[in-house]
Amino acid sequence: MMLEIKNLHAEVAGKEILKGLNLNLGAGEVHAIMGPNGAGKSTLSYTLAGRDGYEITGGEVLYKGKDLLALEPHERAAAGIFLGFQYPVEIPGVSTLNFLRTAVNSIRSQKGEADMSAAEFLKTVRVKAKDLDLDPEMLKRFVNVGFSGGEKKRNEMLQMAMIDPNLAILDETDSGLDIDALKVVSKGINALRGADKTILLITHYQRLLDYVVPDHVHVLAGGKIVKSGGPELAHLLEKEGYAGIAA
Amino acid sequence: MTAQMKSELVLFALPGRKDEAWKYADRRALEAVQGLAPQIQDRVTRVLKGRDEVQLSSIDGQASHVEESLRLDGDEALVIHHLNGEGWLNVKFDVALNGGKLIHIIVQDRGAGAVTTLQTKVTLNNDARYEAHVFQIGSLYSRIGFDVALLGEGADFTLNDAQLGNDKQNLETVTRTTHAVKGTTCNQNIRNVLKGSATASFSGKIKVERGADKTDAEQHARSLILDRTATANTKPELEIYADDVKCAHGATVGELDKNALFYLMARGIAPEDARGLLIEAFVADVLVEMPDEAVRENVMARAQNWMTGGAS
Repeated sequence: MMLEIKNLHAEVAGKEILKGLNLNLGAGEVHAIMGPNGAGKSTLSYTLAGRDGYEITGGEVLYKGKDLLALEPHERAAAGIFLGFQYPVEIPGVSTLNFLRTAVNSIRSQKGEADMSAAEFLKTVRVKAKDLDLDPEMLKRFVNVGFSGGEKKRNEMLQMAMIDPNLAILDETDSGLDIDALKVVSKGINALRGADKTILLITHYQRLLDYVVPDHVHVLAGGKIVKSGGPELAHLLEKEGYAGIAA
Repeated sequence: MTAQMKSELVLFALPGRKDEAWKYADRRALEAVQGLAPQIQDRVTRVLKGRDEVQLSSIDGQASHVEESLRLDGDEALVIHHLNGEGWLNVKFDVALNGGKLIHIIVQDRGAGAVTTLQTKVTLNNDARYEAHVFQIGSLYSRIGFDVALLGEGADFTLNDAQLGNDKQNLETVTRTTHAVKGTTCNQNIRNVLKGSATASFSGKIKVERGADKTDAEQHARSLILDRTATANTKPELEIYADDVKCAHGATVGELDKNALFYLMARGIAPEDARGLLIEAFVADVLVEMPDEAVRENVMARAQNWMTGGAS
């Protein structure tokens, strides 16, 4: 099992948001979590990535059979967990290339591997950027500064491709994308699929799931998974709304 | 040195308590060094062309008073002042530019107990450009002052300034810019990074005289506080007697961006490296502008070492 979430309770600023969430994600699977605003979707992704201020008050999370919650955020990244941000952060003064290279080599060093050489890094990043229709010139710019919404999400996909994680948690990666950008981003997600990979799509809309077809769909409401099913569940939600399903 | 020569040199008089330009000064540090045995260096006047690198230092327990002046009639020159040593170093630097461009780099990396006062007085005639780059990391108290008069059309004053303070250090930059005629510009960029109970200050007075239309003046001071016990002061002051002018100023004081820190950590970067990267990015803004490559690399390395906790 890639990830086992057992009866997870989490608080933000003293308010309980996750109220006993259970979820099992197997290797090689693509899962989608859908839910209305305020259901706890972003809280779940931040909690799994280890963000400060998200306090676990109960339950456990096992990643490849080990306690995930004991790890610091950078250790989780090195262990193979990638969080695709709903709102990628702008970092003035740090070039995208420098950021990518620092990230890749920080993860390698935590795994006891040697740094990627400058030449190999540049070659790899150029190929991956091209796959995502990102102009290599853009990588010289500061991280996400002056990027359009679509460029920011493609930049997230580029980071994911460079890091090559085992578990990708993608928080509303489809939000704010036009149809062309959505196709490019979907291509990036599908490229990650593989027998030793797990993808968790967190989304509000069914649209992304036309391009990245999930094996399982879950409905998150009130801090719990209230319904699980196959891809057809997403279509049902789209047609009938959350009110009917989650009730 | 004879008494005669000594009196020719303008020594340092302790400023009055109500002098606004010394509002943030460390009076105690200044009073402590007033009585130090003067070790007066000769007055130097140079007509410069090309590159000049000057090491200025004083010995612990002594006060060194240096007076230099420089005139440039066109062409471009580079002066690098390396301020080293302990004790009190008091420098008066007079610059007259009749056109041309002077790049002035000041690297203040003095001992932990040192007191530094450096005052630059600059007059700029038509199309003359004075570009100053300041890096302050040493001294217990250090004050770098600029008194710049833009007297000819097309004259420009540019300042890039980084002050890195730790422990009980008090570092300040004080500018007084006078736009006397029309069509002159200035651009001042200050970055402070503070740890411990350090203080960094920037006071910038811009005076636009009657008739100095089309003045374009910018002043931006940003401070990054790494410990709650540190202090940043910024005091912009505008005195405008002309109508058609552009004067922009901005000041921010903040801590490291928590969202950016988490973003970096979520990509596998350890917390201390993430902090280092963000602090570096914050000062790189002004440091990358430093035109001399050897000095720039030296200063960047010094800053990096400081950020990762190396002694200041």
